[in-house]
Amino acid sequence: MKNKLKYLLILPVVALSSCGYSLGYLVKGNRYISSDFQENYYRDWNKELKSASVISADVTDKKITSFNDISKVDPNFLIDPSISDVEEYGQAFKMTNLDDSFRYGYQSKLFDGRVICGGLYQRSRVQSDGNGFSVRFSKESNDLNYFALHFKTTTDSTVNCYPVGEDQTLDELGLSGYARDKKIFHNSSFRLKIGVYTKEDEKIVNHEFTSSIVFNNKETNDGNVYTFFAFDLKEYSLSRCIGFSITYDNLDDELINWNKNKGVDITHALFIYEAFLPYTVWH
Amino acid sequence: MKFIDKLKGLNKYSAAISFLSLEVFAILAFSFSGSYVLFGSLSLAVFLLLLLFNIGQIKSSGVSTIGLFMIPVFLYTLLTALGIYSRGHVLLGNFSIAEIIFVPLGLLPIAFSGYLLSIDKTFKISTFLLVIYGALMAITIINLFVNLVNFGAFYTVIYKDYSMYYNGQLSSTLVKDMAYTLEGFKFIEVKMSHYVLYPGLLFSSIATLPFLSPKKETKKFVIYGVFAFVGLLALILVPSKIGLFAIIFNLVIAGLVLLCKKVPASRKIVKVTVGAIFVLGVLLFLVMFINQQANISFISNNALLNKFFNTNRFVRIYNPLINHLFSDKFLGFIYYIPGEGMDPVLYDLSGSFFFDNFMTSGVIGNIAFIAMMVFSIFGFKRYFLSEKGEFSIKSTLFTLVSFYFGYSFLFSDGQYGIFYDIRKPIYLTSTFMIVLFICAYIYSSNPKVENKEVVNNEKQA
Repeated sequence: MKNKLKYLLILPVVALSSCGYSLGYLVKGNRYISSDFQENYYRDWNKELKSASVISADVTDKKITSFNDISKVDPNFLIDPSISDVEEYGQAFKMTNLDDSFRYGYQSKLFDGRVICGGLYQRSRVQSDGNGFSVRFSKESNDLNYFALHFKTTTDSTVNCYPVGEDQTLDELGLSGYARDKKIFHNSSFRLKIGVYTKEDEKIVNHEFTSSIVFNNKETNDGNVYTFFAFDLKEYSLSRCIGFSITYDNLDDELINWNKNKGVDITHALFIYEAFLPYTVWH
Repeated sequence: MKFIDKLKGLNKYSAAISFLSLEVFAILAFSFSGSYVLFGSLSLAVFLLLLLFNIGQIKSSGVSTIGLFMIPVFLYTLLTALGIYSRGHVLLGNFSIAEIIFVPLGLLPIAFSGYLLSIDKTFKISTFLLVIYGALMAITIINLFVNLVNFGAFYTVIYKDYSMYYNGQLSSTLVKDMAYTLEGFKFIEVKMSHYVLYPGLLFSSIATLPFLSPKKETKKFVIYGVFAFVGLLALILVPSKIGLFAIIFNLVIAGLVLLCKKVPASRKIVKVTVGAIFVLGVLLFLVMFINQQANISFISNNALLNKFFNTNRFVRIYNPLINHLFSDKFLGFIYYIPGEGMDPVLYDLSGSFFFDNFMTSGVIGNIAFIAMMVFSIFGFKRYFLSEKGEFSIKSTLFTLVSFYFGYSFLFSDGQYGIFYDIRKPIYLTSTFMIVLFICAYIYSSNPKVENKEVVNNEKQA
């Protein structure tokens, strides 16, 4: 009887200890901020979201893409057209303003309002490959009407690659600094896939919105060029949103293709700085 | 005179008021809502009610006794409220004006309530202790519960090298040094020192156990045993070095009290040892002071001292405060005058009430605080020597107060929020109110006066 009582006392402790609600927010050491480009890929997928059934929709015609200047964005695609500075925009519409739950975990980088890389903001990006990652919210929202991302595409700049059309590598050309960045500006295109996950009864559905984005030579994001990407969600009447995912297909990348022919492998990445679901209420 | 006589008649309601004051103490011990203005208002309200319903019992000798105790409290609270630290943080928006007004308006009434309840025949300090420990147990269980749910048991050991991402940034505080506690109506991440305070205070209830008979006083023994067990459990399931200190400190104080009681011959040894530790503390402070003077800096030049101070790490946090005090003008040395002296933006709370007091209340304010502690020591000495009262209660009260001051000297970090900017120097905490009340109560419970009263009462009967 005494033994049983002892186990009865231990049981709640074990039960409580197994919850570990905040353990997902923890990281060991300097994870994702290594000097090695390969170690910084964030590939965390929520199991529930990974196995969701998919409903696809192409939003290429319904989206807006702006490079480095949101003042040129069609006002219909901006939450507040009076804000033309992207940093101001980030602070005004960051999701941590909407709910405290967005402040926790590695993914809080996407909701903290730091929309560019510079100074202390350098560590504000989430680095993703084509297989992407998912974000599972701890709360739900019923009033999605707009989704926006601020990101840039890039390649591993530590690789001594061949600029497109050149037979000499960057080192051999003796380039450094911005001249080096500029030399590897190139044409590319990729297909961005934003999965918006909703709960329908107990089933999880992935509403996958795809959009092709083309970067021509001047707008390639290897330099200090950011992409503001937004699309309208109103017509899809999504309710009970529980998360989103970001994946992409690299359709055509001149720099990668050129170097592949030269025997040099270059890894591609998406640097995502901010995700916006403005004017949403979270329960 | 008729009015006074009418007021004297109100004494029959003192049981209800005494019960009400216990409720207030429960709220204070629980740190309910975390609002200092609320605590101050409650303290003032209880004081006014106690005054109204006990006015007939007030004796001039009692007033003169508590008056002596109140002088340093008055000085400390006044200088703190007028100090540039308080005023600066009001201007910065970190403190509200109401909070600063309630420093004297909250602390003085709670101290005087100590006297008023000491003359209130319906008030029992043993009941007060049960209420305080009950509230401390509630907050300890809630805090432990939320830590287990969020991180699980022993997380400080299992995830000791882990950090938490918050607002897009990796926290500089490792998981082993953080915990969740209830702050107001919200669970927030705090430094381990803040978490340990409540179970540490609760664990001080262990000091009752050696003086209670498990057979004769089973109920009491079990209740205090549960208090101590819950405190210990909260410190074991969330293990930390500070928690270990809390356990050891409480055991040492309780052990010393036990030793002095059971082996009277050991009292002298204990006195000498405590005196030696005090002298060592004074020397330590002098070393730190001299070291801070220009062109001396002998701690860093002395291998032995450097070893003790771990390459100056220990004193580093206190140095800005000491540096300021002794490099400023003469007035700055006594008490920095408004408009001069310390810039509240530059100096964070050091994590020790002793050093913080220099900044928040000035040198005179700190001397007043120490004087209050010295009066409390005398109060406890009289209390221990008194025949009246249960020794188990005396032992616990002493352990509780000693733990609070010992812990606050080393770990009372008023800036305990990890992701939230929280500034709560010792005088803006509800636990200090409780301890101040206990000290005032003990000081007012002058056995000589009480004995006379007992004799008079017997004669009247």
